[in-house]
This record gives sequence, structure tokens and C-alpha cells, in this order.
Amino acid sequence: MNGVEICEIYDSAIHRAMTAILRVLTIVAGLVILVGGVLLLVRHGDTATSFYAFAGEPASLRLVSEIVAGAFQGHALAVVQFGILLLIATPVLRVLFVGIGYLIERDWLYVLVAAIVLVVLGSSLMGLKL
Amino acid sequence: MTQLEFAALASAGSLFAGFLGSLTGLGGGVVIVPMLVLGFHVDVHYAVGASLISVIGTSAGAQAAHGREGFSNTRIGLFLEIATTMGAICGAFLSTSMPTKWIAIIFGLVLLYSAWSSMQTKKQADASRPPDALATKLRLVGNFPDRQKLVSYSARRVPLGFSLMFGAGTLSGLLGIGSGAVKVLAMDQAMQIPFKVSTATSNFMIGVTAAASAGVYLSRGYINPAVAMPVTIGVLVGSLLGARFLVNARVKSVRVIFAIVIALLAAEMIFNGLTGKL
Repeated sequence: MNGVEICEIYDSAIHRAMTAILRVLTIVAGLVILVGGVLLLVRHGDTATSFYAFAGEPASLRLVSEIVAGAFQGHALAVVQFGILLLIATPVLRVLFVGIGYLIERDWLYVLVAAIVLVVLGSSLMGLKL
Repeated sequence: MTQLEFAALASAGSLFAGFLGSLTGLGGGVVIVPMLVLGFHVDVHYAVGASLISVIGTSAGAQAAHGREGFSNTRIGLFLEIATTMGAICGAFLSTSMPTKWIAIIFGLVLLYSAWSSMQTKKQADASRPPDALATKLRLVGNFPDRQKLVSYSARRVPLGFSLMFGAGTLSGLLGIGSGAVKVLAMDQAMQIPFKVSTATSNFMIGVTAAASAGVYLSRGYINPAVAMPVTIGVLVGSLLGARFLVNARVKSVRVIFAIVIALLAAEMIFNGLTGKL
């Protein structure tokens, strides 16, 4: 079993493509959060604020469909929340890509492991009620 | 406090936290919640939600900047992610039903452990023992270069490590931290995977674990974008700066100072939790 790590497909073209996609997604997520933050501060920067009391966010900032809709209408908080959604998607996509890597290697045991992790992640995100 | 003042102060504080966290290897997440709760009087649930997003951001940012972690073992990481993600969802649901003061007290205790463990000198696991049967079956093996030769290793005590990882996931979901210290404990101490491999694999796992609980937090309305925005941006920029400095900084003294700061924050979290001030 020596050299297991070395036979993995780390330097193949497909691995480079996956790494590039994840990098772009991370940068885009960060930029979307930044743009939303700038919008928020330009429009409501001088509004008094306090986060001492927990109220729970409204549906417009909890449900994926409403966050996306709100973001495209340019609501500042929805834009930030959309960026946060993209950020949450990054590690999920990473697990998917690792699973695809094992599929190419025909390592069925680890295709199964990746599938289990994706199901667990999916069940958490299902709570988002798409 | 106005939105602008909050955003400016919180992002500056988070930048500093991310910088120190990445310099010391403790992660910025551990000081974000105390900073928000004690310094800005943010509700614990909002603080934990914001910290969780910043943990995902830091992990994704580090991977975007450096590509693959040098010594990480993808199979070991992926296999243990079954435990951490399930634990994370568990922790997220616990957090929605647990009184604030208990979260503060548990947070304080975990902070104390992190501070203590960061001061310990790590001894290399003995890689020469025969491999474990279950670990061989699951192929939780690998090798890494150490002083110009390739050292092979094999995981041991897989069930114990798996259970500890479930615990690490629960803490991550409950407290919004990466819980890297517990992950390294599970891999390095319980499973006897070489320290360099343990830390690199733990970094690879942190984002996936945090994403599992983030879904629950978001759908329950615990992610407040106005809180999460400055924190995430601050920690991300700070940790990328910290990674640049890492090469030529004298880390030892920074580590001691950071551990003392963490221990003081831990004491204050526990005190405020016990006296019901939160």
C-alpha cells in the first residue's frame, strides 16, 4: 500500500480544472459579500444598530429561493446572504470533486465514502427548503 | 452604534483575530465569538453563526491561495468527514435548543483546552509499528517526506478516532469554531497519524465540517448578514496576511501571548455564563 497518495490524480488536467473552479468560486463569493457589504453601508451606514437581542432572520434571508430573488433585486442584505450561500457551496463542491476523482480511479469504496458525506451535507442544506 | 461603526470595528477586530489565528495555527474562529459577545454585545447565536461562516471562508481562502495542503491525506480526511459532518449537524441542532449560558460555559472550556494544547510540544508518532487491520482495509495509509526519505504511516484505533471526530464536529456546530485542536487530537493522539499529516488533513476538513452546520444555521435564521459580513471579510484577509508572515515570523512568543489571551477570554466567557450575564 505504499505510495497511495502518490498515485492519486493530483497533477492531472482534471484536477487542475477542479482546483481552478473552486478558486474562482471562493473569490466570487468573497466579492459578492464585499459588494453586499458596501451597498449596505452606503445605504444604511448611519442607521443605529444592535445585535444584542436575538430575533431570528426573516424568511427573505433564510430560504435559498428568496435569498437569490432578493439578491438579484439588489437588496443589500440578500446580496451578502447570497455570497454566504456561495461560500457554503465551496466545500460541498470540493467533496463532489474529490468523489469524481475516486470515480475516475475506480476506487469504489471511496466513491461510497464521498457519497455518504454528500448525503449528510445535502440533508443539512435541505433544511434550507429550496 | 451605527452600522458603519459596527462594520468598521468588527472587521478590524476580525482581521487581527484572523492574522493571529493563522500565525499560531489556532484558527481565528476561537476568538471571534468572545470578541463579538463580550466586546460588541452581539447575541451568542448570531456570533456563532458569523464565526461559522468565517471558518468556511478561511478554509476556502487558504485552499484557494495554496492549492493542495502539502501533507494532507485525502482518504483519511474524507473518511473522517462522515463523522465530523454528522456531528456538526447534531451540534447545530443542540445549539438551537441549548440555553445561551451553557453555550458560553462550554465555549470557555473548549477555549481553555485549545490554549493548553497549543502550548504542548508535539512528539512524532512512532510510524514503525505494524498497521492496523481496519485501517488497512479502509486504506487509511500513506507516506510523507521527512528528512529526504519517504516515511510510511498507517492509522490506528480507527473507531476511537472516528468517535472523537464526531465530537469535534458537534463542538464545531455548537460553537461555530473549526475545532482544529480536537481534530488534531483525534488524528495525532488517538489514530497516531504523524503530526504534519494530521494538521494538514485537519485544515482540509474544517470547511466541510463547518458547511454541514452552516446549512442548519442559515435555514433557522441564525446567520445575520450584517454581523457575518464584516467578520468573514476581516478574518479572511487577516488569515491570508498571517500565512504570508508565517515564514519569517518568530512564532513561539506570539503563540504564548495568543494562548494567554484565549485563556483570559475563556475565563470571562465561563464567568459571564455562570452569572447569567449573557
